[in-house]
Amino acid sequence: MAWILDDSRPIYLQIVDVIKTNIIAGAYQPGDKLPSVRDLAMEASVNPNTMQKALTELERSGLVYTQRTSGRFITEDTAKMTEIKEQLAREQIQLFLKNMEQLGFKKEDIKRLLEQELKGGQ
Amino acid sequence: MLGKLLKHEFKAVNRLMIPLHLGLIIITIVGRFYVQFVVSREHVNYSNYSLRMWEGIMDFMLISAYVIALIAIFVITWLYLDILRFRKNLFTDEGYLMHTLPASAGEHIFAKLTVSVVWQIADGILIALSVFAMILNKSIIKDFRYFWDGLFSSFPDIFGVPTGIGIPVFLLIALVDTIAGTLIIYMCIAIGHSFNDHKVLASIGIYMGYKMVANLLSSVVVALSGVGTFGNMSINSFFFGVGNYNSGLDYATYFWLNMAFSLVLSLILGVGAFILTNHFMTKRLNLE
Amino acid sequence: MEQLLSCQNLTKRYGYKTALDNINLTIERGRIIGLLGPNGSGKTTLIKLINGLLSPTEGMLLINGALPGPETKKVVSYLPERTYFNSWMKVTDILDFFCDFYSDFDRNRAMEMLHRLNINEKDRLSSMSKGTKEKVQLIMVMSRDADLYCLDEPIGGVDPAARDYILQTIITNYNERASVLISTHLISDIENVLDDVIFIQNGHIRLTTSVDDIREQEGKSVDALFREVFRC
Repeated sequence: MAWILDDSRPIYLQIVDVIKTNIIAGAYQPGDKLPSVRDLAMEASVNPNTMQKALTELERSGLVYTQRTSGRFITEDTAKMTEIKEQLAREQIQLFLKNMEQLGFKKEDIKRLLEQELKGGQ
Repeated sequence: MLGKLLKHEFKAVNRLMIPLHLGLIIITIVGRFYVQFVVSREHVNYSNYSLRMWEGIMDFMLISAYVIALIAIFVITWLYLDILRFRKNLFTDEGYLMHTLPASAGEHIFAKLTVSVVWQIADGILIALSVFAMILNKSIIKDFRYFWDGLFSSFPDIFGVPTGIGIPVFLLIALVDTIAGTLIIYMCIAIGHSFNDHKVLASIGIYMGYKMVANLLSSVVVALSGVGTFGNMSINSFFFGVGNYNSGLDYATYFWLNMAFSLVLSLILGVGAFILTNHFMTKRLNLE
Repeated sequence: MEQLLSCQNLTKRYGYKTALDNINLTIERGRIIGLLGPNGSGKTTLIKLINGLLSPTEGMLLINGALPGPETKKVVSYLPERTYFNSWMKVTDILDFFCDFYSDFDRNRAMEMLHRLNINEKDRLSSMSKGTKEKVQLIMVMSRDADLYCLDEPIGGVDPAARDYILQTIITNYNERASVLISTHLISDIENVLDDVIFIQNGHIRLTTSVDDIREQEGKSVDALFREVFRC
């Protein structure tokens, strides 16, 4: 797993994003046990405190849950997964729309171009 | 902690001291064989003067080499134990390790001092034994008993105390002197290395300064009392004291007065040097 | 939370030169802290004071509530910016030495790390390169279960691969009871492993904050902020 970290945002937020993407992309399956904080920290070459903070953040979002004795697991709640997946997709779409708007496209034009692109792609 | 410091100190110091003194023993054995050879050679009556001359030169050179070797071993031992080891281990890069061990400065000084004194005594004994082994022959063994008896009978006449008391007292003072002398050098190194630059030069300067003050005080004390002398060599001071004997005291009182003075002086110097070394190693440590 | 280290009005002068000027600072347990500043800013002086290699001109420094001394040296593990072993020593001699003097030294951990770096225990230090010597020293220092690790310029003279190894070692040995204080001027290399940073300049503390706060509030990396604060 490549942990590409940029300079401007807090490291733990970037780690949250990487793990989220990994879960949604299926690198971690629902119900899988996550590696320990220490191992994840090693893998990402970050401080264990930072990794801990990222995992706490993930727990809050509901993607990850803790079993007191046996560690952290990926949620098996597929509805939750879908929800987060769609939320991420919406974020991407909003970003895309914002960029298109900056280029001066109206909604109709965007729709037309998008349909054209999707057709051409298939 | 002191035990561990001693263990590792011996381990480090023995690396030089054991080979050095093994060398001394080998020189002694080889030298003794040569002496035996010279002794047997003298029985041969031959008229070759040139050969005898060369043999004479050879003997002289070998004896000189032996004496130089003894002096070198003595000086190296002293220089290494009192100065080099203490400085290098505690005041150069190695000091970063030593001074972050969970040991107090006092323990460091004790460990260094103990190892230094033990090896200085061993060095002294081995050198004495070496000389003794070199000159030993039948007539000396025969005469030794007379010498020994003479020592015991004349000692009380000169010093006013029995030999069995006088010799141990001399040895005790020699030991205390060695300890005090070592501590004074430690003190000079510790103070000199609290300087920001020219630490070695500063240490030497402080030692010379100490010597000057000591000599000055000694002259004052001698002038005032007319009995004692000030300095580290108490045995010398004793003989010097005898020369000044004019106070009308009997020999024994004079002996004890002089010994007590030397002992107290060495103790004061030693304790003072220890306290200062300890202070400079804890409060004024200034590693590069 | 119990304070691991606290400095109160800590001042150190060498003659007329002031190396640290009235510093107030606390360090808690379980943190990895960068002590960052340009050369000659007082980083090494502070670390030497923590280790009792210097004593303060004024003010006070407490470790676990105690003044530096034999007791605090039991719980502080120090990596100076120089190699301090005798070159005649073998690695086993050094292991024996640390075992004898530090009750918190974990010989097995040290051996494991040595093996991973292919360092033979029978080797003498005199036969090693400078970089290998530094690695041996770091392994010894990190193999203790200390409360406070003080690493003075641990990544200064080593190649990038060794640098990664050192950072990995620091992360691996992390525990929540202990803190690590790393002094360096190479910030970008260690930024990701730090919790907090202390910016120090001319003997004054310019800033103490967490890395996340810098990024959240300033929107820039510690390295970028450092360059801004210490712009020449």
